[in-house]
Amino acid sequence: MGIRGRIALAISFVTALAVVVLGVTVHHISGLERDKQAREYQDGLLSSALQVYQRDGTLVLGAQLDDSRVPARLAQAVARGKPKTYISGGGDPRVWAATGVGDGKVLSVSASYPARDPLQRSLDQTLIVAGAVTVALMAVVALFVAQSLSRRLRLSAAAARRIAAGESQDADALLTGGRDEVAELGRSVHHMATSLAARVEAERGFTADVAHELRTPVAGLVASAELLPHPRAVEMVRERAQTMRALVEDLLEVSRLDAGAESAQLDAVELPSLVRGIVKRAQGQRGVADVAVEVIGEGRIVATDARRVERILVNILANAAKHGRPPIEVTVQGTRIAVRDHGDGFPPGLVDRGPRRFRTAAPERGTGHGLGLTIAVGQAAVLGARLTFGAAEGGGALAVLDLPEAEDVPEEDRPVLRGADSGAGAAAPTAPGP
Amino acid sequence: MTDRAARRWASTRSVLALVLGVVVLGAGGVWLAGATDRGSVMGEAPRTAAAQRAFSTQEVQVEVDESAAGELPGVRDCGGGTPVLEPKVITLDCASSGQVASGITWDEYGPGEATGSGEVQVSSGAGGAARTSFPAWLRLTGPKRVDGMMAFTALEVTYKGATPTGEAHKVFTIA
Repeated sequence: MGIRGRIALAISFVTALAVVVLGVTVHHISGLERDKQAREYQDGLLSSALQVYQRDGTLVLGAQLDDSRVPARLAQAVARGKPKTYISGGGDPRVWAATGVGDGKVLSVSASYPARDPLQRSLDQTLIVAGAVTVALMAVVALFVAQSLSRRLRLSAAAARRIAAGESQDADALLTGGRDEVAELGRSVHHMATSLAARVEAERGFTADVAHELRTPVAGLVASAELLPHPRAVEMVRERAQTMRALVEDLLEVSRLDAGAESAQLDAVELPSLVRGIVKRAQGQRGVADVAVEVIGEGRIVATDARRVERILVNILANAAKHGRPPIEVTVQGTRIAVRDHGDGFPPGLVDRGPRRFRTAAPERGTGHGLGLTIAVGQAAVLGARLTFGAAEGGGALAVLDLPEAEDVPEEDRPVLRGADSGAGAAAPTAPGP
Repeated sequence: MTDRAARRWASTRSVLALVLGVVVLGAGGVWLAGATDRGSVMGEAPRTAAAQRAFSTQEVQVEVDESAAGELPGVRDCGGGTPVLEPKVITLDCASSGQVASGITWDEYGPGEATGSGEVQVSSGAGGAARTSFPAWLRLTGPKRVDGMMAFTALEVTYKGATPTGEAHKVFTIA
């Protein structure tokens, strides 16, 4: 239940409680007042009747002398010399006033006094209706008040989510007016987001600048190595230069993914064939070997960016080859591609929080700059796919790429296929990732 | 550590609030039970006690004596007995004895008329919760010699507020 519902429920509950307590109190006080008034009326009648009786010896105002119906308790109390009033229960409830008039005689007046007075019943009904209306009214008012509070909090949360997703910050959404706690929260989140965005932007710019600046000298280094006379030295320098160039290219790709500058170019492709082709090309590169491809079920034709799928799979396969142990198994089922090795598995930190650049997280996974899986996750996001890391049954690392189903994407957001045969058997196009 | 301390404090507050609520509800229940029982306990009757004391201390109406009979008229209740000067109580409806003017205080009491105020008591045939007392201005008129003594023969009643029958002004024959 949201904060709006909780506030409305709490206010309604407290109102209902107050209404019940107030209603019961009013009911009892009115009952007591009714008793008191009835006693006073009978006392007044008896006093007049007593005066007439003492003067003339006649009975007026319905007064009775030695009425046999006088309750025993009242008769006993009057016998002690003081006039009394009394409300009797039983089948014929009555209000009494009685007094002794000498010679052991008792003068009394009485009137029927039903427990449920029509006036009090009417009061009870009014209290119930008024209470119900009050609770309903307070619930509506509380809902509106809570909705205002909830809406401002949701706006702040949405703005914070947009900033977290890398979108530009919406200062208006966070900089809400007012001096209350919600406005203070909005301003604090805005300041935090501004600070974080500036820091992220600085890091992003630094990565892009470094990669860009390194690219040209590294290319020159590769070219210059070709001119070295000693074959072994050439080989060593070329190898190191190639590694450095790959690192620079990876950094540039990461910076482009961070900046959101990438977009998918979708084509209709048969997924099993695409995967087999990628695995075939990957074998022999970056130490990838002993890879088996298995297709479960009927092969699907999907609309995706084949180049980016290859980038993802090659990086996962390279990671498996470098940090895991063969055999590497690639399974294609529907729109899902799973890559499993038989090594020690991914470190827990990577499974929980995903890959982080320049972090290999576990010594047993060997050395590396940690950009391969970061790029794979970024490219999967561009495709609108989901890449998850976990442990395989029986041990080993398991990476699963779930390409989006066509129906996951709204019609208006679906990209137009380029050169795709969208006829029978072709999968519906999918959207590029965020 | 801070979170745990805050949670423990919140829990203590909840327990205190719960205990307070139970105590309040219990006290309310006891009060209500007592209030329910009050209906059947014995109550005082202060007006009757006052009338009794007045009778015992002889604060009663003065009967007209023979020497004063020619000067001020009295009131013969329901046309019988000896006329009484400045009566505190007068029976209005002698047929049913259901209406009585009582607690009368006289502002003026002369040979031609007498004015004062009191309250008209009506027998509570409508039930114990129905009103039985109606404050009114009273005026005695029509002095006549009856059985050799002067007595007023009519009583005008003008109700100050609520009336027993809806009539704000009524004249009763009293002799």
